[in-house]
Amino acid sequence: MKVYIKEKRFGDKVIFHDSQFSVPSGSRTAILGPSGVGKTTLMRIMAGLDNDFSGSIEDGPSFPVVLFQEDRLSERISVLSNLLAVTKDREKAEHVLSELALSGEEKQHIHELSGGMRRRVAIARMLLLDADCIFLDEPFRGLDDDMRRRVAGIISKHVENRTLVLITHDEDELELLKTDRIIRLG
Amino acid sequence: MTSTIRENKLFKAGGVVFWLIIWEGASLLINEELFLPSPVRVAVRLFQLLPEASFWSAVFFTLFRILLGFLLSVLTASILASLSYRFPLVSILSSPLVKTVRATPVASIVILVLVWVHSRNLSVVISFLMVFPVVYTNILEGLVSTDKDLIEAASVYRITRLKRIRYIYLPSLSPYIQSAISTSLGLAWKSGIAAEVIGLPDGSIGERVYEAKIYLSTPDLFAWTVVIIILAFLFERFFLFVSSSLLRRAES
Repeated sequence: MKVYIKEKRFGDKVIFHDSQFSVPSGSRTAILGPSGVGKTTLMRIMAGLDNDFSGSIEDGPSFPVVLFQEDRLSERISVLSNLLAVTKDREKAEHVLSELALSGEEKQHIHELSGGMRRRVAIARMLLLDADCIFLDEPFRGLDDDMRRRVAGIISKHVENRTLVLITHDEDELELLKTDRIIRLG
Repeated sequence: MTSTIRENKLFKAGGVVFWLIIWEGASLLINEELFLPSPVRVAVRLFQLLPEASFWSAVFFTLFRILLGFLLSVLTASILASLSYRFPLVSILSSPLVKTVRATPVASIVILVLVWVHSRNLSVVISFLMVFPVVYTNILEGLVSTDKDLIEAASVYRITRLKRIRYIYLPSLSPYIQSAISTSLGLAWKSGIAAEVIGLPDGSIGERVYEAKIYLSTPDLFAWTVVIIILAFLFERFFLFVSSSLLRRAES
């Protein structure tokens, strides 16, 4: 994927100007920087969710999937229903839930779960999709160290030869997901 | 503690008994059945009406028409609200119509509708028209307030249209649907009966209420009013139960 942003602005504020980089297919790229520098904005441009910029994206992914910073789960339905919204394979959904230590929580409604559990449900939903490029925006938010390692292992296994783009402010997460390229912002 | 008292069925029944006592006291004080019959007198009159075939035929006559108007209205208002959400032009065109129907007095609509339709079908049209703005507004509001982030995520995850309705829109709409049913069903009964009192279709509850007024039979008027309140209450409960069961089933 070749990214060229001639200009991206919010009102009078210029976020990116003449920025250019590439993300090789199958690579694990980290976009690193403090809060407010435009990491998520850059990810949205790369994933094709924000077209309000001048520039171009060449050889973009055909099926990009984003793990958003917010969990974006349907609050009033169960954990399993949230997963069945993206797959017909109930067995696979239950397997992913058990991998993420969520067995027995299938029937719980999202609003009944803790922040960490909700994050794992959002990750489970993402893992069910057969995407060619995965964008992870602060994927370990709300997870303790043990769970971070466990989740990172599951994501790594799932990603294998696909392209992964990690958006984070925490350098430790680069090691957890074994990223091989870094784009520093700010 | 306060909420426990509010939810306690015994306390709720106590509230009803309290007002029945007030009613009985007021009726004893006035001591004139024409102005205010006692609750016991009304209950006696109601039990006298119950075995009459004409009582049940009037109940079914009105019930069928008001519920038909209500159901047709829920269906068409839901479709129009969905179209308004999807196509701004439909919303722009519908808005003045909905606002006009909402603001027009029931009596004006009844008299106008009487010119167009037979009085037998008056309550169908009136309950339809009165329910329409409430359901339309609620459904449209529910659709507009659906979490935009969730809709964007659904698009990224390539969730099918049918699944979006089932897993995103219906759960989000659920409280709005419940509120629309609760508000509009009461409105359907009030406006439907008012229309019948004006249009006087043969064999309707409205006609019986009107006769009670003409013959100065206040206990009859009260007894029929009690019947209307009970029917409105039962059907509100029924539709709320059916809608919440259907929504739960769709979501699970």
